[in-house]
Amino acid sequence: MSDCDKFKMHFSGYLDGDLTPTLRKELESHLSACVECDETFRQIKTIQQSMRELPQINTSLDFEQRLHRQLSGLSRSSSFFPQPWQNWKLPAMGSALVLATVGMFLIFNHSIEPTQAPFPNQAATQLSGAKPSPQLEASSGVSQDYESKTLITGDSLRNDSMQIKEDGMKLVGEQQ
Amino acid sequence: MMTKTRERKKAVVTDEQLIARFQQGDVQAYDTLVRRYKDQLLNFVYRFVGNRSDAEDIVQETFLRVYRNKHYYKEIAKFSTWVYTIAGNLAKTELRRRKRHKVFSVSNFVNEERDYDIPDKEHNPERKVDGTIKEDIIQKAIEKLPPKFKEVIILRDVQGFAYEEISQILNIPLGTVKSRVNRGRLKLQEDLKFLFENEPKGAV
Repeated sequence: MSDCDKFKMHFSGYLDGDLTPTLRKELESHLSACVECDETFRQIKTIQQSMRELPQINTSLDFEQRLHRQLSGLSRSSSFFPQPWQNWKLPAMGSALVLATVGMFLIFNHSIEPTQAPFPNQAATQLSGAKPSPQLEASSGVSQDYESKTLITGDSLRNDSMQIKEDGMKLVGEQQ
Repeated sequence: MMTKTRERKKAVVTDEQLIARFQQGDVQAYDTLVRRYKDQLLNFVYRFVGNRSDAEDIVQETFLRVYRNKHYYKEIAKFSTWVYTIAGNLAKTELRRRKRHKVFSVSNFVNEERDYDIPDKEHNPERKVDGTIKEDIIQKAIEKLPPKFKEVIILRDVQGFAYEEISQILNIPLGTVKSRVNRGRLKLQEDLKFLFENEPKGAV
């Protein structure tokens, strides 16, 4: 590293009055001997001064109004839950979603049971191979009794099959 | 007399007292903080992103975050440090977003595109560049700095922060701040020397 590079590392310290007396003297003596470093330092000082004098800009006149509009939107969106609930509302909603998903899964899982298809012949042709083997049925441990109670009627093939039947829910609950 | 005393009392309410009041539900304290900081934050962010409208949106978002996350503020740091940290992070995110979407190109204008209206030597022997153009050139040179130099240069040389506070705002060691300021100043000098060379000694 040349002398110039070494002293350039201390230009800011010199400008901010942050150098030890010894280093300051060394730098000053270098600046008086090196025209290039002297000019660089002078320009740095001038640029720094110019930056301090850059014009200040102000926020627009409706800045606070816009902010308040956003803040009122913020409080409206969060007013569904009272303030003390807000810390746990997300986990609570998440749990509710998980429970609903599990519930739906349990219900629909039984509704597509091949042995309970309302139109056995059609189901057998459309879903050939989907019917579990007798061995699998036997090993699954699901009793006939359970299956018959969770029977979902031919309605499950209709457009409104996403509607959960009250009696179906009741029977699932009873079985558990 | 009474009014004067009251005004004096109002004037000495610190930022930290205001944020404490806001944390207890005093929304007026929040409004006072907004009024205190909106313009200086705008100048900080504007120098960073170079676009006034984007800068104002970032300052709005900064205050929204202060509102939403008021309880995250702890009095171990100055309020100014906290709010500048939020604004600085949002400004950096905006620059990263622009870089990803290539909204603008970082032009190496200083070395390639010197198409600024610099007065002719013949007509103006002192080569005094018009103030507005000069400010514009300086602003462009600041924008062109690598982010790590840009943030320290704006905080130190444009906003006048102490090195210690810059270190807290950016969460980097004091020595790193000083070194980056020095390198940032040298980089600016390199880019702007065409504008300032041969000025008479002592001229500003």
